[in-house]
Amino acid sequence: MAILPVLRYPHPALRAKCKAVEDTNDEIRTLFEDMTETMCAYPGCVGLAAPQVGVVKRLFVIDVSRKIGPKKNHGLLKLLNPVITYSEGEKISREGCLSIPEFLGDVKRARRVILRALDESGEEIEVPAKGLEAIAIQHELDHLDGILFIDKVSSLGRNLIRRED
Amino acid sequence: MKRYFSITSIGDDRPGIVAAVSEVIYKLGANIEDSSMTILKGQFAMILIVSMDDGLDKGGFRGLREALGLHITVEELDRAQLDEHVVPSGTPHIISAIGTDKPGIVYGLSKLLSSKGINITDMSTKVIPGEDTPVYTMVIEITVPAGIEIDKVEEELSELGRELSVDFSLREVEVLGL
Ligand SMILES: [Zn+2]
Repeated sequence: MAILPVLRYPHPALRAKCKAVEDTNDEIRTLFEDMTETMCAYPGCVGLAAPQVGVVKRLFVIDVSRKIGPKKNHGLLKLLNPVITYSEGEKISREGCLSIPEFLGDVKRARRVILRALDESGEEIEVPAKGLEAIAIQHELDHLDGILFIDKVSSLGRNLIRRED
Repeated sequence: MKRYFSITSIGDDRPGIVAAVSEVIYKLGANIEDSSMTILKGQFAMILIVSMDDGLDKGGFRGLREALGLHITVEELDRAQLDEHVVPSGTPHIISAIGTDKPGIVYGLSKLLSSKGINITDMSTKVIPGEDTPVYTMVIEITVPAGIEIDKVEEELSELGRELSVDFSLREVEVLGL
């Protein structure tokens, strides 16, 4: 296990269109473990996408329970080749991103989504998510297409800039 | 060593103000660090913090006063103060308010907040037309330090709201680190 360095804008990996993962092997499982450890190294961080650690592959980890506890979410999810198959509603929340530190902004996203993906053993799973978990999924999925939340910001949470810890 | 300056400007709104002011800043060799601009009652108001490696020629802004009728002030900021500034920590919340326009709403609310050590980090108010009298609206962002009972604040807010005939609503801003 290792904490990986998190890339910051304007690293080109953050703007890359990531490639689908062809097969689920130990290398991918180790990457998932390292990404989970990296996410957990940052207080308040509930998601991390592969391009943020320089791997341009379609996978991410999220764990909203780090912020809101075990209710109304799936806890730690390691997801490969994720696709949103259904979305509904709208919710504005204030997002931040490890790759764009000290910047927060309000972003409008779907309130509920259903995600289809592979888990770390290559099994197909369906994840119905709502609230913060749905937001996190959409933010991380955007990373896989080289889209950053600043591309979607409607207003600045300028006063709430986090200090570097 | 970098030096920092505040530039504030207000004047009758029209297209081209930002272009004109930023042109002067650019040609003087200054860098816009932070800025906020908005329209208040038809006046375009700008607040900018710019940085420079050396002094900023305030005279460079004189032309804008004449050409666009802007009221501009330029002041150097105390570098030591900037370096020592500590961002108050706590949980971000938003208070929104709506009520009949009358003097003392901002004062009443801000006095309540400061008595609890709650910092106001952003604030915007606007008077809008109402059914028969003007209506006062307000959205403010605050940072609630650890150890403050938010239920207690909410109680006192609704008490103040009754006194002022204003409806206050308080909610936490969810910030997601992703
Ligand atoms: Zn991100």
